[in-house]
Amino acid sequence: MELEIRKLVGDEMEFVLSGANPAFANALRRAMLREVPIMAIDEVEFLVNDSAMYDEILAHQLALVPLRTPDGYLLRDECGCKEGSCPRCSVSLTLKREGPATVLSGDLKSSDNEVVPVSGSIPLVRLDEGQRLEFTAIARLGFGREHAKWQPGIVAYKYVPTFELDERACDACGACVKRCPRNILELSDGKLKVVDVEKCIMCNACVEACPREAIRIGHHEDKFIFRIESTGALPSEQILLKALDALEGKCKEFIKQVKKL
Amino acid sequence: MSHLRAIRCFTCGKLLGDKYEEFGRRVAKGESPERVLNDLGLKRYCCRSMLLTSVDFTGEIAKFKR
Repeated sequence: MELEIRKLVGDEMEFVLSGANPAFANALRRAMLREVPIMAIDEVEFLVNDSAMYDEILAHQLALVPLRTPDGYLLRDECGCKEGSCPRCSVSLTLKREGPATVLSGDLKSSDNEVVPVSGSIPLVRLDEGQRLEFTAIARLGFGREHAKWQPGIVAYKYVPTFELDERACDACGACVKRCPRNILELSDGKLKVVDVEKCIMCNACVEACPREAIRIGHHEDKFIFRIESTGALPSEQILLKALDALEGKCKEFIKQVKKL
Repeated sequence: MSHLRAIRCFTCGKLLGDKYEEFGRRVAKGESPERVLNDLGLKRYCCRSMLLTSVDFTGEIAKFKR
């Protein structure tokens, strides 16, 4: 199995996984989406809410604000504190504003300055003249399998497309060039050329356009292009590493169970 | 219910909350929406449609009681 990192900029990462199979690629993708713990607001206690927005709706807005997640926090179950939230397993974010104002994510005051919204300019609610808002929110670690607010980002993979041309059949009529929605085909010196085969979306428009059946579109069986787009909660490479930890943990647990037999 | 714009894309979950303001401001100045969307890094049409089509009613609704 081989890993080639193509791009690692800001919250985005792209890599090519080769020598794998679809089952493994999908296990990796699902682990990244579901098994990586990140922080998100889970409980909100409203002291005052004069805004036009119901408490529940506002709480839902808050939960969707991505929070930066440093290492070291415990899951609620691991911690086992009596209150269900202590400084080892949770962070409290408070807010107090009076209108007229647009309440932004940057107005949240966190008890840990490493657990803060990834962007301070997310509007949460608008307050009119004299309206007040005051609440305490509790953020804790959770998994994407439980709620989308705990999903660390968007992870997807695609197969690496292949473009096969029967050069004896092709008469360079250019019908496929015009039909390709990604504009990756071109004619040069009376020959058909593919500019960037990885941009192909395997729609088969060129195959259908070709009057001489000279084109075949397929894909590599063991090569996958992965793209990770982090919400900002974790750096994208951390999402990959933590997903691998989770998979390793599951395998170890499985081995333990098998050995008991 | 007050209708603020969605924080995340309904379809893919990308963070959009911090992008409406810049989008609205630049488009109002006469820039092409296509260019602004590209600059904001929105590649998928789900996210792009969210910015192009959602309307903020908060101003009108804020004056009413819940």
